[in-house]
Amino acid sequence: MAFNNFRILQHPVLGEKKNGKEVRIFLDGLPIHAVEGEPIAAALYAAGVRITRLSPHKKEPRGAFCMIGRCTECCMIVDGEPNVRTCRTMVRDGMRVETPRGWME
Amino acid sequence: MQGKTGSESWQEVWDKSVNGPRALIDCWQEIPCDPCQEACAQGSIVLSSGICAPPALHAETCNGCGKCVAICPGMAIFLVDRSIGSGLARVTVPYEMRDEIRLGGEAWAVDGEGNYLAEGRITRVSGAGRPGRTMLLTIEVPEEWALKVRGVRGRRKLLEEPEEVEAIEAVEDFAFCRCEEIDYSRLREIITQGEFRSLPALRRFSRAGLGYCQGRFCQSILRSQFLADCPEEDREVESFRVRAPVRPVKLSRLGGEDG
Repeated sequence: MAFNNFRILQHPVLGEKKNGKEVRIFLDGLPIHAVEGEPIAAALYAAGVRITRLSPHKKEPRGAFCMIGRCTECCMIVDGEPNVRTCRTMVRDGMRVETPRGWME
Repeated sequence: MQGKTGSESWQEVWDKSVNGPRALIDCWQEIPCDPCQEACAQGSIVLSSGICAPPALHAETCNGCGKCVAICPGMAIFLVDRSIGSGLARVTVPYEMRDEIRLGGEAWAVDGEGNYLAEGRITRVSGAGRPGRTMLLTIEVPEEWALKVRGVRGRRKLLEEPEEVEAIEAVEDFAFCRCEEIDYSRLREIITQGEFRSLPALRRFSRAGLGYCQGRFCQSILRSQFLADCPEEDREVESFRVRAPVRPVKLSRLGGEDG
């Protein structure tokens, strides 16, 4: 899963993509390329990942919604810590991100 | 509303613009905002009575530098230059898109609502090399449009036939409380069956607004739906306490062990 097809390279407000150190994070064990200084949600988005969790009760797929840390739709398990807002948490090399799959039965 | 405050000073701008570019201020918002006054090295832009007053221009001292055009967050300042004569005027507008606008190219001058005014030629593009910064485009149009131009659109885009926009059908259902997974239809069901008299009771029963975000997204919909569906004489409590969102914190963090 090393492709970067959805990375935003040019943006009318943000400008050009800034070059940063390449790091690697793991989504459910799969390696994903990320750039230092970007949130986890951005790295997942760039890698084409749209589902960040399954909802607790109905186990419906959910994805990052507000991108500013309010809605908690992007909460994932980061390095074993549950309910981490991935849009507000920056990547770190070797970070392990897991997809929550609803309440355990 | 547009042009409300400017119309008196616009005559002056119109008169002086035969000598070179002058700033045309189309700002009627009485909001605390003064970057134009700060940006003007000539001291030609003055907020007469406090920071909420709309700016006024002294066309006599304005040298048409365009700093105010680039800095106005509301994109409400323009330059008008009639010095080229022969019935033409050059209007400079702020531009923040990245499309096919090119120097020397044909473009359409539009008004504040995007309606076509006139065809013109782009005679100047400044600031294009700096992403994230406002560009200034100068378009040459017949003089009669000089005070009305508020924007520029690439000609190619407009020449395409506008797509038929189908009427959007009424949204039947949507995720109303994202945290507690309540759909809008479910909320209506609860309201009609429950005959709730108090908003907190409805909130506790439906659980809308009691999840992670504590109603950041749903509380206004919940309240307006309650007010819409519950007859006024039956209502007992119409408000609820708004609480901060839930942010789990590890005990070890509180104990100073990490983070």
